[in-house]
Amino acid sequence: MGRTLPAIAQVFLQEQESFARFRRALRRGDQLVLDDLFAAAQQHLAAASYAAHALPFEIFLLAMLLEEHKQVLRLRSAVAEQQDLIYHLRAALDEPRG
Amino acid sequence: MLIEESTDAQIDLPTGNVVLVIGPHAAQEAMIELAGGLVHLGRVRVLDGGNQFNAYWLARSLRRRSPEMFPMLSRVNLARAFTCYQMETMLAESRSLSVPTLVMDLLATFFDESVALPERRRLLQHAADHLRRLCQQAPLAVGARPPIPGSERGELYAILREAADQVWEVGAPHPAQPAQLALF
Amino acid sequence: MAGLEERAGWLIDLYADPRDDLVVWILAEDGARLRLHQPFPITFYAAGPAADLRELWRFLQSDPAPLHLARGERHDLFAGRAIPVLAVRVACPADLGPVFHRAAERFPDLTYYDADITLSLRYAAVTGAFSLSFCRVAYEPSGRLREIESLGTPWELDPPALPLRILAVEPDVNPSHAPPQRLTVCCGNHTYSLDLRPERPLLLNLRGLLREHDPDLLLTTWGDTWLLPELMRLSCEHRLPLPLNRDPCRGVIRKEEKVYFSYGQVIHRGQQVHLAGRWHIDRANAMLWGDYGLEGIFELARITGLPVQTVARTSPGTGISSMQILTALRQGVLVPWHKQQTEDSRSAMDLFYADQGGLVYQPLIGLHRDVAGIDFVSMYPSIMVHYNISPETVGADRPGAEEIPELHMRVDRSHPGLVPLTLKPLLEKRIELKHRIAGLPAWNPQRKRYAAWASAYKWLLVTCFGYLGYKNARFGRIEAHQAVTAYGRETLLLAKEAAEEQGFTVLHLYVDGMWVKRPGASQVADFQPLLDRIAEVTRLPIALDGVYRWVAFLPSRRDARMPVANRYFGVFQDGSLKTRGIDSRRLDTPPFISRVQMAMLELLAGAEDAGALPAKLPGALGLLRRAAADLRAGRIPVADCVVTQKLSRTLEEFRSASPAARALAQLGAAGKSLRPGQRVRFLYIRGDQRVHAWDLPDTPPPEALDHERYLTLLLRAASNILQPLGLEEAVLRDWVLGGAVYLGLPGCWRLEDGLDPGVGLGLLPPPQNLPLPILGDTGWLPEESVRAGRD
Repeated sequence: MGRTLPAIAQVFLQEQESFARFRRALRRGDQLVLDDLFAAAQQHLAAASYAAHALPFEIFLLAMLLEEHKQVLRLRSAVAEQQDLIYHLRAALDEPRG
Repeated sequence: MLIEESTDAQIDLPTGNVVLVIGPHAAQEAMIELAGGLVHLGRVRVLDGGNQFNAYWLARSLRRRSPEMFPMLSRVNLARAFTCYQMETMLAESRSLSVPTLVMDLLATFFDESVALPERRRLLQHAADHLRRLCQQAPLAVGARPPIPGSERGELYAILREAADQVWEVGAPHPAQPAQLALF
Repeated sequence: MAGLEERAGWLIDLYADPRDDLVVWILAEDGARLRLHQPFPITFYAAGPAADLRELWRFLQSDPAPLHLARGERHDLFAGRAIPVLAVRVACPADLGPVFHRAAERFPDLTYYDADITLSLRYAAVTGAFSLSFCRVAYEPSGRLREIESLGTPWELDPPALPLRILAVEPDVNPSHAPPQRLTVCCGNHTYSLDLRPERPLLLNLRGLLREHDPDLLLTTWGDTWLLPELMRLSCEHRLPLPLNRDPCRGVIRKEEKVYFSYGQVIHRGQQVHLAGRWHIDRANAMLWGDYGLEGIFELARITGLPVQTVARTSPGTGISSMQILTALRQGVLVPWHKQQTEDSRSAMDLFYADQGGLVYQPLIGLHRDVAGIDFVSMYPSIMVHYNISPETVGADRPGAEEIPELHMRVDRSHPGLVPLTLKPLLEKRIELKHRIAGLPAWNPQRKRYAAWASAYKWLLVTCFGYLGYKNARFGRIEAHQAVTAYGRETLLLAKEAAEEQGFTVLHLYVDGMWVKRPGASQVADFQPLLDRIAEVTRLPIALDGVYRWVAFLPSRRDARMPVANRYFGVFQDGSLKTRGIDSRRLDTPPFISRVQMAMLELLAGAEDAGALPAKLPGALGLLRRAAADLRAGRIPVADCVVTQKLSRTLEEFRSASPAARALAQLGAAGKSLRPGQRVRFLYIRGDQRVHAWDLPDTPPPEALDHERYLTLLLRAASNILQPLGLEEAVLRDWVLGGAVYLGLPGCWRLEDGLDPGVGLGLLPPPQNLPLPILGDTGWLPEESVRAGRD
């Protein structure tokens, strides 16, 4: 019987499309960053669909944030590792040479 | 008559009249915008013959105008028909209430060529009679595609046109503002 | 009874006959073919305002056909109660059509029931004897059938084998390609070759063969579209009657071609030729012939109740519909002529929940090792049966009934619904069949037969869900369709949660399947607790599809960051491959490219472990290079380069000169027309035309092929499967075309792991000091070209 509401993937594309003017006026580098944000949101289409929200863009924003925060956590742990390494290297350098 | 550009879309649908709204895609956006205007006043009944009721558009349109989006969405009652038999039955079984009725893309199911044309003609005539009945107590608008003269579809459109008191035309939608009624 | 003859045999055909009422053909155990007949009155019903029914009564009283009228009450499924009806009983089944049409034309506003039901279904409902059932019959010497009793059910796993006589006829070439010159005719152990010209001897020979062998089945290729119409034309022209029918009193039935829309697709049904007392099956026009063959067709006839000739040519949707109609007839439920029942009115808020499809989680792109594929067994049909979902059980207004997740609707589980009643034995038989197949060795002929049946069931079960939401389905209803998807989503989420509770990562969820992995889990036993838990929380049958040594989920071709659902390939622990959505599974991939891709995959599948994959790459690349070289040298047979596409529009409707449109135009110029829904076949060639329609009389030579185009397609197919190993299409192109190096280095790829699912598997730069195995058209290449290739 077909469906009345567009599928979530289509809604996503329409939402992305509605920012075409905004995107066009961005600098090239910023355009690519924006594309990345949308690509991040697209990873969570299944959850966005299941959410059955009347304003799906709110969900897409949250999905972007989610991926951003994942990245933050990943970087945080990488930084911690690096700091650890630096600490040990420093300690090794500072040791009186025997 | 032309639909005026209006941010509030408080369009005056006169009770007692069948208003035919024609435009590309059976005036889909105009019909949804009408629903958005009417739902500020109370309940709205939507009968959809062409899988047209894009509730996302309605939600966005309501959100622009009011913080009360969710309760308003709940005030819209929707039923869909997928065949001309179902459309005719749906109209026949709709009680005449004081609730405004919007019939979206009424002709879509009647364009299905797997049903013989005389049969579709007969069912559409019944449907038109029910429209006349339903408009007596509350506003009623019907969305349809512009007719193609001389075709089978033109003939079916003529039956619907015959039942209408007013015809409103909407132009092509403005690409940047998908939910807005455009000047014709 | 005195004077009656008794026999046992199979019910092979039945049809209405103006003189004999109903003709029933029995293939008797002792080899006799019996044409029996019996009276078989048929009833249809009309409902509506009492005054209109009285009018109809008066109108039908003067109808020329002998009939009987009565008032009564019958159960309407959608109304949920008995409704008053006028029952019209027609004495002779052949009169039903004319009487009904006279009534419906005069009184179109009445609602009609049981008006257009296939005769074999009515017969099965009344007598219990279904298509191909083994029966005991008792009849008078005149052929008047007195008793018929089915000695089995459609659900038997080992019905007595049908001793069929088959006459197979095949022209030497596809008639849409070139005019055939001769026919090959096979019957029993004999094969004859008959020239199509001169025509008289051909007709005489065929007549002789038909009379001598009296086949039960005329099995042809292109018999519907060309052979039988052609033979009938010749027979008419030469005034030489050809006994195609077994019943000499009947004419051959020809059904014209038609195009229709179904499930959003254009379907083309070619013309058909049906015989009486004997079947005609056209292999080229039989649905899913390649999938399940004759065994599948016979089994479908048994379980759907449709005549063999019909079931061979119809979609699984018709099969499901017939099974539901048979259930309705047996339950005394009215079968509506047109469905009028409409959707219940609901709040727009509900639409967001109701109007979703199945749950599809995008896969985590990349290569994963030790992955379990878990499937719900026929999930949607199982849900319909388990939750009792049927048009009459689902609705908003059912106090006390069970609430359906998300939908503000309820489902009444107190009485089995029409749809679950229909599906339950089918599901059970399929599961039993799967057990049997698993227990049989590969060489066992019974296994092949069961596999054909299982394939036929699969199509029925896949279709039954869509059919519930099909607008013209008599027992379809959108709310029931939505209920199934709602339970489906709930089920998958429960399964996902169960997996995560046990520490698994869910890699992909696709409608009714789930892929999971967990460090340390690599054997079937490691996944068993998860299966048990899922079965416990969902209460639906679940099965382990297998444990993959490795599986690769592929990204979108458009954007490598984007995962795509249901596009993957992997190798199970027994070394067998599973592929979905890749080129070799697509109709429009030329056969030779499909073969190369599969050969490359099979080579990769030889890796005992994902870690051994890099060692397999040189071999796979070698295959690719050889294929590219063969292509350029014109060694690929032209027939292996044919691209097949399904037409969605007519020539006039094509807006751009796509390859399919060009091929269509060429066929049109040669006087051959194709319609939407049919398949167009063509070759890519060099020159202005760019394509050459395959079904034109001439075939271009291999050197005319557009090698560049095929090479691009070949490289794309190869890169689709090598990309998860870090080899992109551009790199492959460089390797295959320009200078050609493969650096067989263990460090050039890695397995996907941990937090970083979206990242592709980059090709690391090769260390400079390792010896480089280099592959080329001519074997090993000199060092310079290695550097050139790398630059």
